[in-house]
Amino acid sequence: MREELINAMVELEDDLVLNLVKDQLEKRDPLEIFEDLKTSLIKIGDLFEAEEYFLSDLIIAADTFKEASKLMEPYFTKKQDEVKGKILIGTVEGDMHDIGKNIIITLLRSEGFEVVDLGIDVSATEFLEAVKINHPNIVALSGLLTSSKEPMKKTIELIKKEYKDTEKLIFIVGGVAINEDWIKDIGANYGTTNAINGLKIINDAIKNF
Amino acid sequence: MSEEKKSKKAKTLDPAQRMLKAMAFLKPDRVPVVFFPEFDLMADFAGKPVKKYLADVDLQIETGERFKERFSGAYCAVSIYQPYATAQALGCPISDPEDEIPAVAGHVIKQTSEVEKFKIPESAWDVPGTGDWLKKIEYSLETGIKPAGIGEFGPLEIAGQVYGYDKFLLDMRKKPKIIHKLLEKCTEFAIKFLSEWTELIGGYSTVILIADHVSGFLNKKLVNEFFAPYHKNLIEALKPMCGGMLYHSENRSYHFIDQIGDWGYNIFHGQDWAPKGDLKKTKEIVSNLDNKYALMGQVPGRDVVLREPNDKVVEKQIIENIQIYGPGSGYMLSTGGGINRGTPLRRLDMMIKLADKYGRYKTKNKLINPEEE
Repeated sequence: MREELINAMVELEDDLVLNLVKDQLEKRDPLEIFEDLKTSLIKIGDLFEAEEYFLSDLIIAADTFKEASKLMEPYFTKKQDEVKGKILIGTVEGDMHDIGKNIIITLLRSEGFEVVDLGIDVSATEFLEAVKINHPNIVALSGLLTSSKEPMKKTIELIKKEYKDTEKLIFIVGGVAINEDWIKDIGANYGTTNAINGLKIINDAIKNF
Repeated sequence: MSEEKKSKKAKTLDPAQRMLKAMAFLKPDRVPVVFFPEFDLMADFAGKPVKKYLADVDLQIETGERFKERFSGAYCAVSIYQPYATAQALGCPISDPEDEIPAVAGHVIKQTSEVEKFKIPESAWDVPGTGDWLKKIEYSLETGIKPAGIGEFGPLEIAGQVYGYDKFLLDMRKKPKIIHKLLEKCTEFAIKFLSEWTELIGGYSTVILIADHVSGFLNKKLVNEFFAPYHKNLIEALKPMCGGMLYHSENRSYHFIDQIGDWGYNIFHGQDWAPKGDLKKTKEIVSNLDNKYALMGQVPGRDVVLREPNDKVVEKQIIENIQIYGPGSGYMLSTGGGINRGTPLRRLDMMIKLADKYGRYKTKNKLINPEEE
């Protein structure tokens, strides 16, 4: 039963996944089903890294995960009503791309994070104001363009300078061009080139924080 | 004629001739070098903020000529720029930053139901974006400067811009008929715009470039269903007006590297075409195709030419590309994407110098080894 669900998810059989979830919710612990879907997502992320899956596959996976989570919601309100953490997210100034950002928002919300989405082309000042109002655990900065590096750096520097609880904040950056040097140069804690890996990083970061 | 004499004769080639020979799998004197500088790099070269640079056609012409002169050993694809012209023509707002490359700032089609009613302009001249661009080109021609080549985004990239990329990719699965309808319209407008541009410059362009990175987001099945048919239509309409069709994508492309020639393209310009980083594998695949096309790239512009601190590392990658792809002709050395702002110009000189040293042809199938000379 578990294997069938995991396989269907990894094979991106969206209709089959939803039917299996509906069926299995009557027979299994919903948290276990949820864990199986997360396991599938990790496998999908690995397939992406291995150059076998593509962005369109990640989008299908994220959407299926979102729909499955909706089916599970009534069960979770009884068993899992605790918010795992608060995340403030936005695409940095000068960048209008939102694919990666939207995928990770779907995944994070499905997994019990509270997400404040600031949208696209968000200035450093707008990020800072939102941090002061929302007091998040994590600030996630997204950007597809190479020119996003400077606005990311500017945003992190401004928040670190102006926000009093900055030691309690984790900065994560996401975008296809991001690498280790990029993360180090701009003063972020973590970085990711894809949303599914980003979800894993955020889960680990919240646990270890 | 001996090979040595042939080689000496070929030394008179200019960068454009060299490129055309490589495109035709003939023997140029050496591996051609092709540069695609980004608008922000050109603005820096002109010493002006991007916004001012883009607004000033005379400055663009003058800077383009200076850039070509500075890098005379390379074919420099400098042109008159109008960022996201097609998206703007179809109704997308475009951002207007002072000193950065503008971007599409919003989508036109908000609801799926709007696709059916979505109208494309009668002529690319009639609307902002493409109309502005054509007028700039017309002005440039009046000054006696013919901008290098013709090029714009392909149908899927345009569709992503007007519809929103994530929704566009998701609806390939959820609402394929709608997406096909949208792609038909985007293809029709791309053909209209590029045909009108070609007519403006006299009915013929050496090369027509189509940039469409969306193929790299799609698995092979989706490439065949949503990408290939529309690009084939585009090429069928435009190929009679040009010497060669050039496909550009900086995105993943190893999964369709065997198909690009079948679609009708003559050149592929990219930087992520090697499966699992195996550059030789791509050479092997492409060399054995029935429908051959030339490769242009694959030195990573951003991660290597711009960011790599050590010149020796950059040099090694450039030589590796020349030595793997040069033999047999059909190769042009280039950064796989546009050349980004901040790229040290000495590295562009380095590419030309290394092509001169390591990329000279002995025969079509062999390069001269400078160490053995």
